[in-house]
Amino acid sequence: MNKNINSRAELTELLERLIENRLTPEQARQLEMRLRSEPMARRYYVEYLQVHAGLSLQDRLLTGSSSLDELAHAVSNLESTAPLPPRRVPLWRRATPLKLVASLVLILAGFLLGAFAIMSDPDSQFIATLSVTKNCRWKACEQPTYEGAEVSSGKLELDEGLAIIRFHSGALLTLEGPASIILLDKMHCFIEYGKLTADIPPEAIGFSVENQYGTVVDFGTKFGINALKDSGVEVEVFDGIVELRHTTSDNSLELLTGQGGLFENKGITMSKSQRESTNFTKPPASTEPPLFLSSTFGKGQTSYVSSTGTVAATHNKWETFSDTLVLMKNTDQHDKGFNRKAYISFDLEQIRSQEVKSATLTLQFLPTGIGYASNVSDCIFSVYGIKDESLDNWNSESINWVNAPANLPGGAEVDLEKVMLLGNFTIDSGIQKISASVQTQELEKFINNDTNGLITITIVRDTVELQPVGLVHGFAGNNHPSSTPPTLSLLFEN
Amino acid sequence: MAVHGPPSTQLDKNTMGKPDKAEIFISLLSRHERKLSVYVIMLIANRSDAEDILQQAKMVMWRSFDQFREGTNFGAWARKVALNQIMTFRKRQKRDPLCLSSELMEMIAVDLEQNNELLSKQQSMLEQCIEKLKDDHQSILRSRYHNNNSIESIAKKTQRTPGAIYRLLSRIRSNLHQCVTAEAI
Repeated sequence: MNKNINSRAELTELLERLIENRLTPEQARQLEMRLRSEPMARRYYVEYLQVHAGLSLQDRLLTGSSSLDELAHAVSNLESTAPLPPRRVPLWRRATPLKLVASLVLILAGFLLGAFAIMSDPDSQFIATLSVTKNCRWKACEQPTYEGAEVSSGKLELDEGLAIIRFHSGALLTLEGPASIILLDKMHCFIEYGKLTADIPPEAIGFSVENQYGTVVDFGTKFGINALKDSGVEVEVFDGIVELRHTTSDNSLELLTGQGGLFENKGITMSKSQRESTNFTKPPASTEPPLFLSSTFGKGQTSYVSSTGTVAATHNKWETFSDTLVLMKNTDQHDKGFNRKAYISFDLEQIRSQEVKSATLTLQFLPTGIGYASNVSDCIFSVYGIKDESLDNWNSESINWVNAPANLPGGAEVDLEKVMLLGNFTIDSGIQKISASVQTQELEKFINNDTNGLITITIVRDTVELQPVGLVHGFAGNNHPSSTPPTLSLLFEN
Repeated sequence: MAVHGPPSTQLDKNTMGKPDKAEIFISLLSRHERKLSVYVIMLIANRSDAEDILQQAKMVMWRSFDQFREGTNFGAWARKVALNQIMTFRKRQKRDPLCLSSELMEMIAVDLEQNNELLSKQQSMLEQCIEKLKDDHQSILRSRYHNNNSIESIAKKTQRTPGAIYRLLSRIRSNLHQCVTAEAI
């Protein structure tokens, strides 16, 4: 009996020390052993700790005061003892219902993350640095997105490009557009969709990336995450160990180098073998490689026409020409600006005997340095095929506003009797370096209907500039020294 | 700052009078908040860490709320989310030798689930038991829990040793424990 009483007293003392952060390593070990081996000790733990928990939330303690006199009286009957070694005493911020509702409103309004970060680290609200931004196109967000910018808690949504985010914990994330990530603090983030890779140094072990299904906790490693919209989240470990924890089930999974896992609604599953990185981003299914046909092949040409005259004529007269880029512009300021339209021809001689089942036209847009990007909005471009094959014999040196096939005076006007619309694409405001593609049945049909082994395509910018001196768009032409000229990607029927 | 949640204006009922996702979430969380907080503090003991875990758990719960099936046990779902957050937190602490192991926490979490009803009853007795305490004992609890004073700070104010304050707090908690377990039988 006495043994039981002593045992209970000892356990109480250990629990008190746990509550007040005063356990020594040896006492912590004793407590662990007792609780593991004695169900009754665990029961006692639960009942005892709930008093501590209840006191932490007790409204009854909100009333009254804690004057020095009362405190002094409270301890007056106790004998003095040697002071215990000081330990960290936590600052408790009570969670009253009112505070709860307020905090949730803040969550919903999107402010909690920032407030939380400030509370957690009052010295700095910045938790990471955008250390590298490569060909980045960002969606609108309140974070700075220039290279080297310090960022705080909040969302970063990348449309295109690669961004390396260095958390202040040392964790390094590379975000691959399109992707969206919410930075929570220097040890946590949440991926909404898209792909990222993580490189976690020893000092940031424990870094976690959450997703809608669970959490990936790192143990010093390199791994990749692919958050697919609506169809799970893939995780691949390149080196080291990570743990996957499912939010709403007891499911967890430890992954080692080369292993992969998949988060889904129902839980986590492990992939059977290491997947190739190409499998990580599934390319479009295709049983045969496409044929890439460049506008530089054979009789292929690129050029543009300007409402001021021929390219050759303006070559030495104006600075606003290019012999490497194919320019397009649509302005209603006829006395102050020049409309421009693009012309491309492809030599189809080598594929004349084959039936095209899929065709994609790709253009590499590059900065032209002409005009102000802020003076144009998102721009829609129309791609037309010249139906009248007798017009295919244009020459890139002599083509001009007057003799250009199917051209009409307006900035986007073409002779609809002589052309067929093959497709459209849009380039967002502020974007100058981008790959634009058109893949339509009309393009496929246009190629299949060709009889003379040559097709001509004209491209116009439908969108008129907002103000004079708007940006002139341009894509790499046949003379561009480094970038790919217009290319047709073709798949054929058997 | 953009977060993947509805704007605060959507807290209003929609035109059909049907509560929206945010309203349902807030309503459920409000009802279970206190018990969830007790649950986390019981497992983690350290109140500062517990609060951080709770904040994190609430954010995860909101983001995962689509997965919660209305009509099922929200409290149990919330506790699972919170337990996962505790485990994540423990891993981040690199298994601090002065804390209980994750394995033991999971054992205790099972005990908590099995004794949920009795614990709720005991918890409801706590206020009555506090009222039975002498004023000066209530005062020291207030100083420690509500005013967040450290033991050292209270000792300094009262010109006593921290050891004396520590023992007084221990005795008060022990008395409260005896009270709630006796009253709840």
